[in-house]
Amino acid sequence: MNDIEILLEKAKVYFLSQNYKEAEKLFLKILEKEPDNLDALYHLGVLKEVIHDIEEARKYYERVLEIDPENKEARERLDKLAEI
Amino acid sequence: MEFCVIGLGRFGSAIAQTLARKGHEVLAIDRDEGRVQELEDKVSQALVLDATNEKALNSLGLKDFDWVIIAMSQDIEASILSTMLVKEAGAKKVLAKASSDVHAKILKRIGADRVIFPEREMGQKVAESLSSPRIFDYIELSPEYSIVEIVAPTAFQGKTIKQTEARTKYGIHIIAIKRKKPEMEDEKNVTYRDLILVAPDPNEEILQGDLLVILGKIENIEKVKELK
Repeated sequence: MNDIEILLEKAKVYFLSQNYKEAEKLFLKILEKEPDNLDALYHLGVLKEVIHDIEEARKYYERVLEIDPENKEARERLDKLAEI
Repeated sequence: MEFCVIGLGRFGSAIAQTLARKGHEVLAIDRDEGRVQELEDKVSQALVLDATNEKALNSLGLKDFDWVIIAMSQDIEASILSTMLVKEAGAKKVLAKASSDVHAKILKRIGADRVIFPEREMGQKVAESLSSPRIFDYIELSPEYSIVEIVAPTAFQGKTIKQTEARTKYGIHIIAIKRKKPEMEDEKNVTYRDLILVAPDPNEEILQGDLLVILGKIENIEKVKELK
């Protein structure tokens, strides 16, 4: 596992244990190193949804789609957000 | 329970289908054959019938239904006439959809037990949610009391319901918590599951992102809405 992968795993563990602040910090740290990291961007979107920051969630999913227009998961999430 | 829904536009057909899905007996009526056909497989019985025709209505045995719902409102004349006719035919309870205040007044006068304004009610909800983005749903119980759904203020996060002093200090009751609980979707992605804690324990901790369903006096709810 490289550094990024380790950070990602840690961030997900924080996310799953509902420690959103720490999880966000680590996802953002990944983006400092790799601004186009799709995993970090996508999970930040999900995290923002969980804490009801819908505008931010939307921005992260849109960023995923900018980098990878075919990304099905981000597209589905974005469509769902429009229904709220 | 048994329901008869008259008028199968978007509103009426949504009511008919939802009631049927909940396991109720639903008779759905419209004078338009296409609309009736669309619902045929989804409700107990669907009939093409003109609800302003007294003889046709009397053949339905309306007194056996728990509720008769008059769902058309664009054609005010038809709405009023069928409300009157179903009452005369012995319907126990009639709910009618109104399109204006005058329409509502007439419906009440001729015996509708409940009159609703779906567009107006939805409009109020949307306005409420747009004007304060932290409000997700809003039900007015009386001019004094309402139930709202708000994002848990930061001041409440990390505290148990008891510690928030919601009841003693703010005069509101937290009647439910809606929470998105993260979980693994597959090996790679984290997703979330929607949880609803109804009548939560006073020792339940409020988390960041929780939606609180609160009941209280409107002035007290306003104070909680202003909390950061």
